[in-house]
Amino acid sequence: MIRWVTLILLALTACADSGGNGRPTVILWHTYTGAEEIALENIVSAANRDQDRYRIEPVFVPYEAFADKITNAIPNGNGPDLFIFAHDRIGDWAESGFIEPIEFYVDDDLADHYAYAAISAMAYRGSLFGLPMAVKSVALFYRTDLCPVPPKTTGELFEWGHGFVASHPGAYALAYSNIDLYGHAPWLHGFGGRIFAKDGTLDVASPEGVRAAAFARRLRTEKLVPANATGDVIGTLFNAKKTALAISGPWFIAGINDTVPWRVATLPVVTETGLAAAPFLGVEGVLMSSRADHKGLAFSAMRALTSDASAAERARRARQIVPNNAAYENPDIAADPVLTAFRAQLSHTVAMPKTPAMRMVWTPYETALGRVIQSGDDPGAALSRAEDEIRGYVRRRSN
Amino acid sequence: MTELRLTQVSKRYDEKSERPALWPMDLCVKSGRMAVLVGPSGCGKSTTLRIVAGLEEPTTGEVHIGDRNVTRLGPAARDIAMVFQSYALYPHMTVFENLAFALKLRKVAAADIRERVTAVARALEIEPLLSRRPGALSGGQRQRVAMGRAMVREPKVFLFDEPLSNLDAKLRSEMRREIARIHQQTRTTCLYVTHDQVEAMTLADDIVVMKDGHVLQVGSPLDIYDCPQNRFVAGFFGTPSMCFVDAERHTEAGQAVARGRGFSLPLPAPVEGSQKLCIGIRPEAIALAEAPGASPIRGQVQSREILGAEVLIHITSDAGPLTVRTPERHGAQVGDHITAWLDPARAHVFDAATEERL
Amino acid sequence: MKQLGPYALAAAAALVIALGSFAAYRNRTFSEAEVARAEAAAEAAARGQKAGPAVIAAAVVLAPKKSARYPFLSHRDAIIGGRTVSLGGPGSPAIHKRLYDAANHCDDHGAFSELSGDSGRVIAAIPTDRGTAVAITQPPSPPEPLPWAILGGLLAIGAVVAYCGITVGGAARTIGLAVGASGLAAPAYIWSGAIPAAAILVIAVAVAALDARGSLRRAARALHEGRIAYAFLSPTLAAMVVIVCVPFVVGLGLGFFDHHRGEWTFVGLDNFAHILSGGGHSLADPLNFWFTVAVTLAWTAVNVILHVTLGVALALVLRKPWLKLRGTFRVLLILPWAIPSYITALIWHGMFQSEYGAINQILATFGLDRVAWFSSWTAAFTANVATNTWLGFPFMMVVALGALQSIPRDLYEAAATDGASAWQKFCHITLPSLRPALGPAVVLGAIWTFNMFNVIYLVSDGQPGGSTNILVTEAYRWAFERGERYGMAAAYATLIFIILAGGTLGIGWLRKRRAR
Repeated sequence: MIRWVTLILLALTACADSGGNGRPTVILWHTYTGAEEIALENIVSAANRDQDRYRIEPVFVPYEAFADKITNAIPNGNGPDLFIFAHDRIGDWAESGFIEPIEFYVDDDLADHYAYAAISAMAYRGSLFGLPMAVKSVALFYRTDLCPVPPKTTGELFEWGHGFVASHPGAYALAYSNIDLYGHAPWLHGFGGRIFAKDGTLDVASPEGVRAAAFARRLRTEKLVPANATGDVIGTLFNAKKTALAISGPWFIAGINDTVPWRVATLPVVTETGLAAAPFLGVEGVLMSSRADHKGLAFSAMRALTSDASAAERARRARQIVPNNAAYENPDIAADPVLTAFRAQLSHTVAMPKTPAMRMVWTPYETALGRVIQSGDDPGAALSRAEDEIRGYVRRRSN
Repeated sequence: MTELRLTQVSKRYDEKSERPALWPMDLCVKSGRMAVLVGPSGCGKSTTLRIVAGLEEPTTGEVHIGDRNVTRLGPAARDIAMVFQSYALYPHMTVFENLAFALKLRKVAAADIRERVTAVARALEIEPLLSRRPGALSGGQRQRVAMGRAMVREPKVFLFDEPLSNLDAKLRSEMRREIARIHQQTRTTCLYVTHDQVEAMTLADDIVVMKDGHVLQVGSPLDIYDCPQNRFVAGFFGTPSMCFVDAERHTEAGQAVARGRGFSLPLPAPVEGSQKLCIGIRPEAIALAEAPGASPIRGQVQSREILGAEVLIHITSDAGPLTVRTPERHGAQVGDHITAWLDPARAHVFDAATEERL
Repeated sequence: MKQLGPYALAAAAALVIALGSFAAYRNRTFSEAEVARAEAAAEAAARGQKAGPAVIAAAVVLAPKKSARYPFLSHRDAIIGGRTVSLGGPGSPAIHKRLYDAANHCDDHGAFSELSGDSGRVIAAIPTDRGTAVAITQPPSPPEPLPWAILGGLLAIGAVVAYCGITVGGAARTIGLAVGASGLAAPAYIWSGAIPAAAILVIAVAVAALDARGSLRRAARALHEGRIAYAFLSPTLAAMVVIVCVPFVVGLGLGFFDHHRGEWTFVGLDNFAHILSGGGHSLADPLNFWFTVAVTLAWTAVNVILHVTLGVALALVLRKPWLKLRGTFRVLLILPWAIPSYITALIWHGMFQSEYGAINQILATFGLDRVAWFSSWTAAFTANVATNTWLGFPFMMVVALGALQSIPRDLYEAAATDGASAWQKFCHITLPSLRPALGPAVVLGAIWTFNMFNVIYLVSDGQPGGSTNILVTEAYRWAFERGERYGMAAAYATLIFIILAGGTLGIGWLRKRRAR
């Protein structure tokens, strides 16, 4: 009996020991793959080399599972110290107490390193919860062989598009994910619509939103866009000359064939309103778990991951649109036409809402878009119904 | 009334095999008679029955039921009924539904069905079982249901495929009598297959003995028993079976005599042909007491079987083993040297080479 | 001594409850005392007094100086031990961050005090004229030890009482047992009120009653006689309890709570009322529970009918002796079953894709119009059914093949002589013979289909407009797409369970009645 207990105790101490290695470990969860992952690994190894107070250990977690894993792991104490995620969940996680406010460590000088819109996206209710790493929005990809000059307005888009479709049977003028709210957002904002009003109340069924939905339906009924296209299909269509234009983000680049002549431009202006079509802006930042062990060290690691040098590496290697102002002083980065185009699009974007209620918006909104575009329902009715549905989910049930 | 006639019917399952399952055979079952096909397994009796039923097609030949040529007709069109060895009752139907099935398929009115089924069930004494399923019946009861299912149809010909082989001895004899009784009542033409010679003897109007796809003999039970046409038929019928001894033909004082080792038997009639003979003699034609005209043979008692009224005594003689059936129960003891007396009038003489009756 | 077995059983249960109520009592008094100490320290700091013992940090955090450029940044100073210290910046002590965050929290929400479960530290903050007074305390002494003397003493007295009762015998035995085992109810009442005390009393009386009826002795004997069997069974039993029973009970219980951002609120039957009333949606609305129930039932019925028809038809074909390559076909036909269902579902989803999907391509080669598979209910439902039929027929086929092989040939021959045509043989022999084997398979297949999450989620994903959702995907959406409303999801799961259990029992009852 005693021998067994001793053995078990020995095993336990061995386990406990192996975690050590001198300096504390800061565990970082991320969803990066491909070039972004390589860039991140380079940055992490540089950070681990340059100081001896902590060691960053990156852990890849698939995107689909990421948010759920964070939501479940952090309250149970087995989550990461830091993690990289888009800013739109900050409100939810901050309300739930999963993420740590870090304005204690940050002063104006530090904040000045980042584009104002980017670092503002990391704030919620007067507190700062992360440092921005990359901004992501969609822009207009075009094949120069099919459309040498992209349309500047939606009016031009229709005019040129009808001609193009007529001369290219089986092809579409534009491909974008029209059923999903993220893909639809440029039109929504271009028509002056919104998800939440200024006071934070839900404003889905506004007249502007209705007009935008009707616009999306018109694109489909006039056969300018394919039905229900998703990411992979847009890429295939673009590569196969089945569409001249595609609305997508930087992640689209990796899927374009080498033989395709392409460029990126800003999205067109909505002729009816004179407003630029404005996609959602997602800001990817590094956030700190409220259960992080060494918060001071973890913040140092955050700082290292978002430093100007790190940003330059990510911009160069992974073509990330980094929010560090200094990174664009680098001539290589400043001259990159793709980065430039996406940066130009940035000034016409709307940051994705951070309120926890936003999470309840996606599915009902998509349902409404599907009803309008595919089933031909009345846009006003479909959006009011979606608004009611979302209200039902946001409301807390009580006895 | 219906006659069943097979002309030159043969069956070959595998075209490449040399031996057919059934050599060309002719058979005629007269109207209202029961013919029993009997023989060891693999003799072709079941094949014949299945050809009559329409479950197999004959390779050559024709089958007539009454004056209809049914060779190319399916079983349904032949107006026959068959009782299977396994009974083949429909397990998901009640006894009533089993009996009524064929009638229902023929679109007989429900009232008629009820009447006919009840009548048959009463005749077979299975009326109380009508609402049960086959799974809840004993072997004998199932057998009766299988019979009933065939009877209720009132077919032109009844076919029985070893119907009693799954029953124990007591039930079997009871059912045998039942079948005989029913046949007496209905007088439907029957073709009955069995490997049991007792069943054949007791039931048949005509016995058809088969072996290796050939018909060896056709005749009434007494014909077959008293006058077997060859050694196989002689040995197949009778319990205990006939004893055979080898002998040679001689002529003594103008009298044909069969002489074997340790005995000499006057032959009842002058026989032609082969020199080498096989003498068959049934146990009841051998006596332990001297009888006029009997021929002696010496032997030693090997064993005794007491049947009750009679005793079987197995003897080793110089000519070979012999069995004696005797009413004398305290005569010979095991080991005794005794003399048995063969009755030449009841001896059967076969050619040793062809095994045919001489 | 062996006679005290029943007492030991009751005493052990009572002891567990008593320890639990003591732990609750200790935590309550402990946290009350510590919070009071921290609040006192904060008040002391506000008055500028020196910090008492066990206070790690006490400070007055001064009003924030808002950043001119960033509304979410502000700088704060603090007076700690009379000296003004600037809070913040990289490299500041961790305790400063606690002071800073506590002051922020106090500014937003007013005075508060909070016991940290992890470290046992208590933070208290109160607003004052000069700024926010914050104190952090570390409990100086370990919490009150377990009152072993009281517990042991009461147990010993109980044992004596019980022993006396047993020695006297008869009714005294039962009374002695009940009284002896009830001893711990008194301290439990003092510590945690009536509920644990009542629980102990109930256990004591129940054990005494069972002992009087002899049930305990019989159970003990059965346990002893089957000890080897129970020893072998125990790992499985434990696993069953942990893997099946506990989640089941927890799942049932969750249905009575509402989960909202990490907070659980008991709402009674409200979740069920909300679901069963259709949640304020009209009957024709996919979000109405009854709409989903109708879709689920249609989904199950159509699938099971197709699975059985196709499975039996293929089994009949495969049975034919003339079919060459029978073995190969059997393997090929079982393949859909062997591939993980989500992979199949993803492949079919791709095949139904409107631009490049194989099915529309095939339709196009025949000159037919492309179908937007997920734009109408009928098309989307058909796509789901096609996928699930592909997944489901091999099971029925295998079951039917096995059942077909066990039908004796005699039955067909008997039916043939009875005058049955091929179709009549199928209706009257084949189908009834398949029923015993297919019956349970159909029930099982119906349950699988009823809860076939993979196909619905991966093929149509509820499109269009959520109208092809079935109950189990709705439950998923409540749990993961509508803000972690686990209570609603659990209520859905309970309703699914009730429907399936009711359906299965109903079918069992029908079968029994039919057999009779």
